[in-house]
Amino acid sequence: METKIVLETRYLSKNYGKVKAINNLNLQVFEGQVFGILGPNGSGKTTTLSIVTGILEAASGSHFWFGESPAPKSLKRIGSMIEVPHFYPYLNLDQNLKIVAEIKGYGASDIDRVLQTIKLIDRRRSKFSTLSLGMKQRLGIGAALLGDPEVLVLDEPTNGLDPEGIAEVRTLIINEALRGKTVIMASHILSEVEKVCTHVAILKNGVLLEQGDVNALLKGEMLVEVKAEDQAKLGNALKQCEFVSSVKAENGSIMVTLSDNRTSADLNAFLFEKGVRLTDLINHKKSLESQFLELVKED
Amino acid sequence: MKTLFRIEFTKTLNYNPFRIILILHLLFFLLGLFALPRIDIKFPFLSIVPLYQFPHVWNFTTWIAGYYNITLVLLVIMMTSLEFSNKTYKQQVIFGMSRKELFMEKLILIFYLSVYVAALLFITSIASGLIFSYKITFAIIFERSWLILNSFLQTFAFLSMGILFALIFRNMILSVLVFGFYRVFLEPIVRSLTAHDYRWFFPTKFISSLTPRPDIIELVQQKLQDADKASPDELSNFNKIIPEGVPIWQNIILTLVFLGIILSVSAYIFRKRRLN
Repeated sequence: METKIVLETRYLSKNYGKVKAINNLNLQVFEGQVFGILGPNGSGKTTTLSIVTGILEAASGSHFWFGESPAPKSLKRIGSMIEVPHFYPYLNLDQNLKIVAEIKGYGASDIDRVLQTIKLIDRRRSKFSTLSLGMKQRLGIGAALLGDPEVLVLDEPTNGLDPEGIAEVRTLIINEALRGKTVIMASHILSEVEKVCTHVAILKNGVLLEQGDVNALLKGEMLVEVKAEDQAKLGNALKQCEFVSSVKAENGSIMVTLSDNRTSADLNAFLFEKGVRLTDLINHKKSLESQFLELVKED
Repeated sequence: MKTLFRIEFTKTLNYNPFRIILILHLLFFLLGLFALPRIDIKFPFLSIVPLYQFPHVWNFTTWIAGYYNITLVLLVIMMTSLEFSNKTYKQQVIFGMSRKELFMEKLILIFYLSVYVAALLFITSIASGLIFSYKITFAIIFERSWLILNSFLQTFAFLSMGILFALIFRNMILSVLVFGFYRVFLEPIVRSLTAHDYRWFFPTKFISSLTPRPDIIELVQQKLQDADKASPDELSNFNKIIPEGVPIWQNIILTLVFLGIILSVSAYIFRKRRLN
């Protein structure tokens, strides 16, 4: 079955004065993906999501939702929460969600389900201004979920939440993804992307550094900690190895990054051939965080 | 369109300051209108009671209502700029509302406030006319009722100015101050410095002139200036609207053109301006 493109950006650029917030950004998000946009502060994550949700106009380039030029009609198929959610402070949760339902063209019948999902059913008659930051964030997610949209666009969805709230939101996103929804989320929390997303795009200064399957990115490079009686000989041997992409001394051990989907067994065999007997060999799954930090340090 | 009406009603009628100001507008208007006949200022040569009789009552109530419009302008500025400070325009776009629909929402607000004023004037005019008139026929009752439509246009035009000021300045206090400064100082001063024949072509002047001052007041002023010029017979037989400056139909055209300009500018600002 052919997988449809849900969102595509083509050479998207946006400037704030002389600062290039995003520069020729090309992204492709396919149906069913949980797509993370990852980057440090100021990397252009929110700007990208603001453009695709119609809040900002791009300086140049274009974007397409469901293969079509953006229109309010297509935005109604998407549930979005960008930055901090803003609602009418003097209206209660029911009234605020009724307005959202009216805008999206749905009846108010889904409000109960959403309030149950975000666990704010008991506060439905409370004014928005009386909610805590975490509750406001949850209401923002609730508004995005209203009408059961095909796509969720969430900008830093766990901002302001306590650890329990963070876990709940992550579970909620995973559950929505399991129901076949496409989720696009921006985050600077690497572990969050690692735990929740199936695909990731890494941005730095508005430029796309890397885009792909989270698992492929993780499997592509393996981190192995090695130690030998003759550390100098080990170091020389590692320099000759073609599938070693980086070597770093750390606390008396050597941290080796393997490329080309090679494993620690391949490394052990290679070193044995070179006459190096390892005393320690520990596999470390290379975290997205370390890859991310390496990526944003380069350049 | 129905959806936009429902949304705007929910947003405005559930906002306490909006409700309070609207109730105060209603109370002060009714108080101002119906307290006067109780006092019934006795000039040596006439009573003001005829102002409450058909058909002059239409003239009187619509003229009085013009002075209360400033309260409604305040409401419109408050509701328009509040959405900037609450960042709810931006949020509504995120939820899928177009910028054109955002603008339509504000037009709905001023439309329903204008309808409210027109309804208020219709009810109060009919009520006071029936209470105070001696001679009541269908023709006399509705002789000047067309002034209600003028009043509707007047309210709509003033409130549109409120939207424009709120969109330009985004800040409620600043918008109110600038609007007040323009309405009370700037335009009257510039107008007073302008040649007499052109004084009628300033926005607040031609909009206000849509509901002209009742002729009885014109005559009282003449009388106070020169008591010999007006006789009691002359005063009791007044039966025409004395237009100020240019004829009323010209004021209507000027107002419609001006309305077209300010609404176009407002729509442009809504379309182009950053919402956050």
